[in-house]
Amino acid sequence: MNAKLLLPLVIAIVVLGAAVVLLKPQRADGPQAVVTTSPPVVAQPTPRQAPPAAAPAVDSIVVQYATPNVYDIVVSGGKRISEPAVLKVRQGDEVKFRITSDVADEFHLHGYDLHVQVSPERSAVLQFTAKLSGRFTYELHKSALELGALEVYPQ
Amino acid sequence: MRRVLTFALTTLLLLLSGGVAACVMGAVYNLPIPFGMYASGSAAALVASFAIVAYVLRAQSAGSGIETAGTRDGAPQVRMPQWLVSNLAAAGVLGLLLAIATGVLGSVNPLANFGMTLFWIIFGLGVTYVTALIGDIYALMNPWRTLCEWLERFDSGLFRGLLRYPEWLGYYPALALYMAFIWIELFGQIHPRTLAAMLLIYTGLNLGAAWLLGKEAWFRYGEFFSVFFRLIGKLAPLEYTRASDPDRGYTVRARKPFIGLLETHADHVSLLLFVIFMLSSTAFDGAHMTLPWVGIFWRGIYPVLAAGMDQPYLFFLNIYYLWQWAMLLLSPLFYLVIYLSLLWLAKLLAHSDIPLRTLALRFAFTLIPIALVYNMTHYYGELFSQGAQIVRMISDPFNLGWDLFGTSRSFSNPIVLDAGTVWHTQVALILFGHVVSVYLAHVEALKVFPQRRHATLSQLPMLALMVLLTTIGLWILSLPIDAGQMVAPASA
Repeated sequence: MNAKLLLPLVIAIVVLGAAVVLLKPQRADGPQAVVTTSPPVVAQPTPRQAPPAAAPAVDSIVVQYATPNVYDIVVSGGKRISEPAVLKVRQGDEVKFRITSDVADEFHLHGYDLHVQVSPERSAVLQFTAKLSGRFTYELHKSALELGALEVYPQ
Repeated sequence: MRRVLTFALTTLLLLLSGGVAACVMGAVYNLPIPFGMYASGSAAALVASFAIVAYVLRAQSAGSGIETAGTRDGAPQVRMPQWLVSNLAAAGVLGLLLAIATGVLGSVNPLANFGMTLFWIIFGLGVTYVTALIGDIYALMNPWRTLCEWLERFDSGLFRGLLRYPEWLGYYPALALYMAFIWIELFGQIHPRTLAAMLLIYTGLNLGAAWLLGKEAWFRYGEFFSVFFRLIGKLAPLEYTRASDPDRGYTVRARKPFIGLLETHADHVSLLLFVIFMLSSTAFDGAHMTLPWVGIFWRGIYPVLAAGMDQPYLFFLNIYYLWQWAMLLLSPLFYLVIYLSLLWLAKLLAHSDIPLRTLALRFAFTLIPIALVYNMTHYYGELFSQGAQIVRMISDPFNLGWDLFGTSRSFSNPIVLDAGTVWHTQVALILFGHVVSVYLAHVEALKVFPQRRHATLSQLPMLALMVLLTTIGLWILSLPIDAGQMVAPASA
């Protein structure tokens, strides 16, 4: 290498290293400690009918740490009022959404292309294995209301 | 006048009352790249830059020089068959008509609508990337130009132009249309019907402008897609030249890849701004829904405003949207300042008398490879997930249950690329674009600052520029993304 370039190269490495470290995102990449609904679901706004997805009906709410990736998604007044906006899991994890909405609509998870009907009288449970990695938004389909995103990180 | 204002205000408020859609199509985004990849990608860019600079300087001092001129005179040129040119032109018009028709009559679901996928994904993304490989085929397929030429069969002087195209206007119309296009893409909440309406309006605009200012001038300076694809086409190893004879023949010649970016330079400040906007608009698209960016408003600006103004949440939400729009329009300034500052430094270190404006125009095209890979890294996933759906949709473009080509069940599940693959591809693409831009910038710098004494020093600011742009690009890809909850509460 040209000797005249050596000093600028060293300076550039130092400056770039400092910039990269300073600009490092605050949150760690990959899933956080998996967040479940921390209290057992207290608000049961309506009696539940048998959920349309494959999961068994839930009669009583018990916080089960054996299946850690359980999320309650509650929609009220035109927006999501529960859970963080971004849910992070690892590829291969079991994921369970329990969706409650004050309007009749269709919950849709993009990418996985999973749909389930929700209504004020009927909450829904969506359970699936996070086989696809990436970032997938979920919405109330008819209202085109984007609720949040599921991020599935590779192993 | 009052009616026009009322209409404009109503439209604006209607647009504001919706959510901020991150993108017109597709809700499958990329994960932020891990910090390790971002850091090592930046380091690789830095090392590659120095290696290229060393190579270029050694080649110059050895006297071998770098071939910068295209092989225009000696290169083989092939005349394109007229039937091919005519069919390509007709295909362009057919695509436009189909997009409009399916926008009006097809599925109302944007993700299931043929016209939406055709325009935003196949045309907006697919044709862009294909152009980088095989050249500016849009010049042959431009439906609006073709319509002008078909109309000229009835009146040959129809698009000769009423007024002479003013030189000061430059490429500003194309830049303005580019900004409008990106605004619509990011904030417009376009549905199939509105896409059809936009395409009709754009058709009217092009025909009117071509009539007023002349077809040649308008499609050279004013029509957004013509300018855009002509720039991207300079990367490709194929160049299409229109023959001067009246039957509209085309010749195609081969050249070295990327050399097209050195053969010509930007001829107007507005074209430099256009290239800068290519960079900044994609950077903005990548950054504007990330947590740090959104936090600038909600943690920085909103508390100050809320303290001073007693207004409902919806009021601040509308200000937030206006802030995002303003930032998009001002985004070129950020990159322009970086670009001009480092060019000025290069000029200083090289003791050059060349005006900064001239230098800025000469180096403008060297930014295009980075702008293109910025675009590819953000959007190429959509080409797979949504673009593949066109195979299914083409059998049933109007969503009536047809199966014209037997593909109506193909790709019924969207293709989702593995996140690890996406990350590696993104970093590789950015590095590739970086290497090309660095090489071109240094070859250009040697032509512009030929004094051997200052050759090394003058290379460093250009190197810093490219490393900075690449690091910013990688950094944006690594930012955590917000999940779009900025939706106004349902209004009464």
